[in-house]
Amino acid sequence: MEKPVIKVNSLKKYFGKIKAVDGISFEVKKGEIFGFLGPNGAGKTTTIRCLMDFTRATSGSISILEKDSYKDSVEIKKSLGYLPGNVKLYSKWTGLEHIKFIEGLRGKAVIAAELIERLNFDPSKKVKSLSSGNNQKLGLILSLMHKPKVVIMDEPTVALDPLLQNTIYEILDELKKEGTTIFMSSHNLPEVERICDRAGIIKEGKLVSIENIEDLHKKRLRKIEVHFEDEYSVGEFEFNGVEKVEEIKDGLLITAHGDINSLIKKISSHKLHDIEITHATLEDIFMEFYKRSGK
Amino acid sequence: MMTIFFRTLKDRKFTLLVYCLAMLFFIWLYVAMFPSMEKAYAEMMKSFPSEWIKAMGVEPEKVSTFSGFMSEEYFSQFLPIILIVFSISFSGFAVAQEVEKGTSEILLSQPISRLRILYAKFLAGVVNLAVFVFFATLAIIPMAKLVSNISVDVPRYISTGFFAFVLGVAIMSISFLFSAIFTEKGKANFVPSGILVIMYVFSIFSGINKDWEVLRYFSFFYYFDATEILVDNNFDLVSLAVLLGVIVFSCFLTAYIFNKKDISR
Repeated sequence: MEKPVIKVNSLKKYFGKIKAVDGISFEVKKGEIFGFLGPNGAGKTTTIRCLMDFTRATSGSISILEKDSYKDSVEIKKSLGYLPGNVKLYSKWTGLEHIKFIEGLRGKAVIAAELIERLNFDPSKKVKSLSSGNNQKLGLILSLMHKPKVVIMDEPTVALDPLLQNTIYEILDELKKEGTTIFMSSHNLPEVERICDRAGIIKEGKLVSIENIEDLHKKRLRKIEVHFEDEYSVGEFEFNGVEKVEEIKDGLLITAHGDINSLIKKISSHKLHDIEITHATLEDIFMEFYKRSGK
Repeated sequence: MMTIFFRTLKDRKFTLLVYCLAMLFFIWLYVAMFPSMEKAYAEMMKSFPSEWIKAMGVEPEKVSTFSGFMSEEYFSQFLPIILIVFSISFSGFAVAQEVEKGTSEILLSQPISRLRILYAKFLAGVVNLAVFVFFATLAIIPMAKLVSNISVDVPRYISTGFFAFVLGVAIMSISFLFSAIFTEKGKANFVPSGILVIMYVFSIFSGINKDWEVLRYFSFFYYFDATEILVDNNFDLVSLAVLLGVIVFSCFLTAYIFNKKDISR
């Protein structure tokens, strides 16, 4: 069996009494895009900083490419690209100066020109004159231009417009096809669902669950608000997969997960005035996992 | 490592130029002031209380010469203060500011150890300091000739410049240490400034009362006696060894702390 590219074992990171990360374990396989999902303050960035050896774990171990993330940090970083959320760059340098600087530390870039063209980025401008989107583009170029074997990204698309988000998703998809292993944190569930193979869900420093994205889709909660024009009863909608049926004015609010085909069939047997199906919020998903793990 | 070293030098070149030009102005001021101050200074010394003169470490008979005047007024009083400002601002820029602004993440995510990053920055600081101190010392030689037609003993000025450089590196090593501890520019600048002001106060108080004489050993300023080098041509190796000891100790402690600590904005 192929060894995991990233292996985190019982990782704890405490800041005094605050348990930022509290004993999490997970593995990321080669060529996989692993999403690390959680609300703000859940411990995503702290975990990433431990992976990057910016902060040192209180206990536990991390190995990347079968090397210890602390002892072999320099060796690991030869094969690792990192993109922080809201990347901070040197305001007085141009994009090209950043690229040359990183080349000075890592050697000649492999795909810098290609990424510049693809992201429609002007490297001659000083960073202080760039928009946050262009800043993030430069961060992306710097993290990927050496074609690393492993990429770690902390909320890479935060505050970006949908067009740029899509370009980033496309690039990540291509890297994945070439065998690059990608670990990315996000608090955006649709983003994780769109590009990740698996996702770890973290809340209050603890890993609540690790799910295949396909399974996550199946488990996904939906809220269906139906307003009927004919007669109906609550009881006729209470079947497998339906979590809750609440009565509202002239209709019902149904919370369901998984396959909703049977439910929709049942609803469509009635004459409808209006229907609205919304995906559950991230918080709802967390609640579902919490409920399941008895927390 | 050299990429970071050269980049840091490049980023500071304008600041270095401003410091050098400012020093050129002050040197011109001191040199131009000397002929008119020569007699007035001797009279002025008579009017000051002897305790104050002693506390400040001023020797009136020496300050009436150009080198004596420069050693007392420029090298002992003015240059150390500029060295403090220069060194603290450099270390704050090189370490604490990187962490505070978040750019340290760019460096730390590259295949280079924390120690190499730190050494590259420190080395750039030392080179910056060397350029600045030797400019601030050697510019006196042509300026004295041009402005007041005074010839000076060049080797003695080089020796004084070298000692001032070692003092500057000692100050910089202390400020790097606090930059590594606090990683917030405000605190990293404030704490070493406070310590150096206390050292300055120690050097004054130790001259006022014999009971407080021991305090002078805790002050960097005691170990840099410009008059002794420039006027008496006496190069105190013990003082040099103390300053070098401070540099080595601070560098090891800085490296230990910077290597162990969590670095995050």
